[in-house]
Amino acid sequence: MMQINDEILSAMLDGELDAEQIQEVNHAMVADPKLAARFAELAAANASFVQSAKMIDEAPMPDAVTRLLESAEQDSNVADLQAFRQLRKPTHNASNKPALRWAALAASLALAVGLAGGNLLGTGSSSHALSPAVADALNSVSSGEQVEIGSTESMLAGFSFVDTDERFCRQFSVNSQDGSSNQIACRDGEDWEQVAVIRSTEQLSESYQPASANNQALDGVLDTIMVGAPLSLEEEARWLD
Amino acid sequence: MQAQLTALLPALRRFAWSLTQSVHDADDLLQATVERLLSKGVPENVDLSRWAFTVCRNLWIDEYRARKIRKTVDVDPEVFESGQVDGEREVHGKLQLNQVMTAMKNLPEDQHAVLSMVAIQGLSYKDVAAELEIPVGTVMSRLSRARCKLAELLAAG
Repeated sequence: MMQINDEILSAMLDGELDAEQIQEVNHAMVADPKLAARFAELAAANASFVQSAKMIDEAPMPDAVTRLLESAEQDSNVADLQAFRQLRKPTHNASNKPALRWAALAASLALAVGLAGGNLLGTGSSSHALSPAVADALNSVSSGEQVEIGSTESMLAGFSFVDTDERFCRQFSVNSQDGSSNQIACRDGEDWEQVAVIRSTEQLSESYQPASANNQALDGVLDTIMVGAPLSLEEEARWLD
Repeated sequence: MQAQLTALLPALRRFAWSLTQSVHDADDLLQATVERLLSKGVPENVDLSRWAFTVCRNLWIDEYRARKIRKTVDVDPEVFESGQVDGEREVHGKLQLNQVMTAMKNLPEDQHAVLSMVAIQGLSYKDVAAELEIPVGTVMSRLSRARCKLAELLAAG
């Protein structure tokens, strides 16, 4: 039989005793009210300490710390971009970058057509303009939001990111009675360039599903042009401003 | 790493508070910890959350203890009397804070650190023993003495 002292009671509080020891302590506390009172005393002291530490949650997180992390994230994007460009330099230059981009797109789209039964429209090696209504929505709607585009279409903003040309880009889907499309567009000055589009005769679900067959096709494009992680809503808001 | 660190901030801040017993010092310690993590990174094969707490504790030991900041315990009235914590909860909270802060500053530092690592960071005795390079039995006894002292001081307060 073990000797039940403050160390054992403290270990009991921390879940550090095995089942047999717990049973032994419980039996001892039933038999000895002083031991039970001591356990309660230690538990209360511990709870006061833990609760007090939680009270700091009431005070707002210091700006200096959040700013530090935000600026680190921006630096990290810049660092990623620079590292990415360094890696690309020996084999790729600016003039063949579109070829690389579209080769990846073609490969991934072939997969998508096979998997999803969709068909590819409107892609090529030159840029494509978006309708003014879609462009307006891309300039104003936050990721996760859905808006009506005219009377028959709706647009759901998926996520935003920065591309290798340091442009603000967005993944989004457009749904209409005739079908749907999953698209990526990047902002060039005031205009939006359609970078990729996959059309399907099926309606897309309301939420973006990265793992779906249609969206897998865009992954190759994203792998090629996307720098860092998708933007947070706060970062996205700064681009939208 | 930034996203992981952002998610970790509240827990890390509570840990910093448990060490410093002051909101201002805790926030300074938190900032120093984040700066250190961002500038030095995380060693290979080391879990960020585990490492962040270690950095925080080491900074507290190296810098804050040297400056004896925790001896200047205060209840940060501008935080806890500004309506952010209200009514009965404020009164109870302030009393509890005062008592705990007073009690903690009377704890020997080795007991204080072990109590924070187990009760706030949530480490097992084995992990604390490995981190501090001391036997598990020593962890148990320091922790027990910390709680006994805390219970005694809270009862007296």
